[in-house]
Amino acid sequence: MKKVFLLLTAAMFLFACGNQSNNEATENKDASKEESKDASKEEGKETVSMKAHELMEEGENYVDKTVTVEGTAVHVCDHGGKRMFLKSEDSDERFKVVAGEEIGSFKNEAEGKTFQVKGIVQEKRIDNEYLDNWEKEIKEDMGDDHRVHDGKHGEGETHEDHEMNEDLAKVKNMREEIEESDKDYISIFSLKAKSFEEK
Amino acid sequence: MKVRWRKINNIIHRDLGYFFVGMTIIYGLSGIALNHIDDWNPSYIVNNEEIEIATDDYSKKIDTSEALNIMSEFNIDTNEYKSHYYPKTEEVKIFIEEGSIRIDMNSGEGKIETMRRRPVFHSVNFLHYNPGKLWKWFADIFSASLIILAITGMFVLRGKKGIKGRGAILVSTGIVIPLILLFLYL
Repeated sequence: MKKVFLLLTAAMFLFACGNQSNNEATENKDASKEESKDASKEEGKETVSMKAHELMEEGENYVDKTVTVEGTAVHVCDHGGKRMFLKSEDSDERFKVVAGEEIGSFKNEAEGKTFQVKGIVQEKRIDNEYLDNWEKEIKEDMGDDHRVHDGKHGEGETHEDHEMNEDLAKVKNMREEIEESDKDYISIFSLKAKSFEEK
Repeated sequence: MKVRWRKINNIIHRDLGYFFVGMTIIYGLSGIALNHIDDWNPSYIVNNEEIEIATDDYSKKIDTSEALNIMSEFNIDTNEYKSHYYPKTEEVKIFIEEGSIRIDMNSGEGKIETMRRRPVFHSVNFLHYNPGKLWKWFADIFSASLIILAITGMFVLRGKKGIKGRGAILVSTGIVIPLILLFLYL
């Protein structure tokens, strides 16, 4: 009797889970139908292919669109490989690629190899308010005894000081870029990768 | 019919415990490894070798054949060459299999960095960082099961060593310690 009860409980548990997973499976099927519809739409359209530096320059024309980018992986994020940076042959600027759910992560061994990555272009807008907050955070982290950037990795300057000074220099450069641009922000483009292949 | 809750509790606790032994070890090992991320590279064994080249023998912007010459100079098989680029105006980085060579083309000083996957830790850390959708689901089920394991664990034993005796002291101590630390750090 006890055994029957336990079996019944287990069966109910499984049924509940199974039911849920059936529902999920149906939802997933529907979702994947939608996805494949979108994909076929995209397939029909033929995605744009470009070099990493071209996308950095013309990113605003492709925000939220699927493109294929080509470049050499010059860095893969050590912690989990969620990000990879590509550069074109013709430029040393680095373009950020984020691993989408379909990919999961990039392997460190990718560094130095050339890839074609397909994904959705994303835009991050950086304005003066963003830079004010960033600068405030850097200065708070530095504390009262921080050494301000003088362009050299000075004696007695720790690695953290150096990194923070580099960040302050980045903030300064971005402020200058905003001033020079006709908008009150600058855009940083990245790609959320769906798939990639080595060239 | 009397429902024997304790027995059901113990069966759930026992079987979930058995089922998730592997996941517990994976997350336990990677948890320790990643907790000390500032002290070591938990996924790779990194070796650095200081080197120096005679900059007069090379152009400031080296081409592939010069990159291969640099590799030969340090007895690195040229078949290991992948590519090279300049992360800074004066600094070249040559990617090789399992590592890279960085050289300051002004001073000629640089280093060869080789990286080898750390056995076991590379794999558990890779999984810990959530490598894909299926893993995410399985890890979520594991996390939910840990909560169930914790709750059912409190009710495995009756009596003095159960939740009304020794168990109560240990459970409250285990809750108070993180609360104290939270208070200290916040």
